[in-house]
Amino acid sequence: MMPGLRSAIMLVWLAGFGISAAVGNCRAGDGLSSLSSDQASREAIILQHSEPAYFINNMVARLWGHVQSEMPRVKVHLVQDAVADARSYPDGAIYLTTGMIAHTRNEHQLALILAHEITHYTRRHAKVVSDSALSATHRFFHLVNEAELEADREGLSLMRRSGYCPQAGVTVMTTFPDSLERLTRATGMLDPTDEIACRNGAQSDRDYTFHVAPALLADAWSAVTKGMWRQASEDIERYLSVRPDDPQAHYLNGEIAYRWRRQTDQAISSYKKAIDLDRSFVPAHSALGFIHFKAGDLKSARRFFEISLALSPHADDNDYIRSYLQLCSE
Amino acid sequence: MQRVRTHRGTWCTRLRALIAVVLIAGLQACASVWQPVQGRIDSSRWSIEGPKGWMRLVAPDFEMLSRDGPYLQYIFVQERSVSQEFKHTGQRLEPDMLPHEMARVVIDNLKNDKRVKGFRLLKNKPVQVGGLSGFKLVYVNRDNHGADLKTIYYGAINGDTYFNLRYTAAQRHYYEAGLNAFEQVFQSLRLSCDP
Repeated sequence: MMPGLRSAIMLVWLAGFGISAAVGNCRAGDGLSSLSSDQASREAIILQHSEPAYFINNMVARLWGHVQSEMPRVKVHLVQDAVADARSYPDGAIYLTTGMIAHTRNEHQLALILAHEITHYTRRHAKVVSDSALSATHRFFHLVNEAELEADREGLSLMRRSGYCPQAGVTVMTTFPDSLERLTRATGMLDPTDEIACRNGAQSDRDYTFHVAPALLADAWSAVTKGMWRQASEDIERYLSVRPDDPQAHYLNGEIAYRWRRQTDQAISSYKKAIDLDRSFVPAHSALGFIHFKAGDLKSARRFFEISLALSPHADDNDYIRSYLQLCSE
Repeated sequence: MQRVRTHRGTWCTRLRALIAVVLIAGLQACASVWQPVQGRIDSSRWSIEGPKGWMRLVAPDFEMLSRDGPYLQYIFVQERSVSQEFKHTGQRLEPDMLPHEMARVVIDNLKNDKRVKGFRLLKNKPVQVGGLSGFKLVYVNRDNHGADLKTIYYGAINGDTYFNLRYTAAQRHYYEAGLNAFEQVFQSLRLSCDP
């Protein structure tokens, strides 16, 4: 192939995916792939000052204490997006989606993902790969693969040094499609002495779920808007297992039951649970109104619509409620 | 020496003639993609009064009208199957959906579209669309080139199809310039259940 044509093809490929997408390749989708660090900070919905964000950055502090580098410490930004993605940038920013959190079941799995991305940053993989972007195609892909291999290997080592359990961490790879080869490779990097460290484990899976629960709820909302119903359902189930008294979660559970599973009775039960927990929770009243209206039970619909309007006279969907209420009266 | 016309020569001549016909037909097609709007525009289940002085593009899945060029402003008319998937959400429309439910699916599809940047919903309300219960959205966003756009979006379910009528224009000057024409198009809309 002519060198000029080869370079042109590479430029088109890179333009489509972004140089930063060539490394930090933990993604299972295209959530952050088209964004640079600046764009991600502007366009993405970032859950700043949230409990999971503090929890994650505490984990980063623990990992960073064992990093041998003079580079500035990374900062992790948690992005509300149901598509699983984790991406590091040369400026030290790591963007992690709630979809990626949803794939993790314990602290060790999240530690592996963070350690992997930290390694991409400290080894300057983005620069190495981008410098080779205009050279031979096979060299470019070779460097990308090498970067991923190093991030897996050194990420596991960083986990180990920081007191996390690599054996528990690698299991996160089973949650992604087409990752058998990667899991097999990573399992081969485990050390027999890891087992001892793993026995002195970190917090329980339930404790972990409690700390990241707000991220799971945010992820469920994102998943609903994308029609990723199964993920939304799993998120809510996990969330409610540690925070059963949240009316918003029961409401969302009702939405999933009604809009995806077509289980009206279960939806009504969930909406009513939300109201039992908070009698002023307007979305649940509105949802019950909509269900009864569609079912032709105009008397019940009217009751719930009037409660909604009284509780929140300026809610976003009030124009719709008033129009349906008018039909109830006719 | 007299030139002898061979069988091969005849074949080449015919091939050249065929290529010429195809090229001319192709050029003709390109020249007629945008046509001046003339009076009422009818489809199987909808019709509108086309605005004077505007151009019209007819595509298999939609129609587009524009006065100053589609990069500055356009009116978009589409009728699609209710069951047709959306590109940016796994949610689907259902024939028995209420207007707020339809609007929610459309809004979620827009919010998840990476090309629609800085999406901000200004209005979301129920309206009659061609005599059917539908919804009206007004929103602003930036496109991939950084242009600020504003859109009025009407939608309604008509039996087994979903109809939508939109007006999108650059916020600076062009939105206001074409707004009257769009409102007249909307007022002239007629929907029919019969195919």
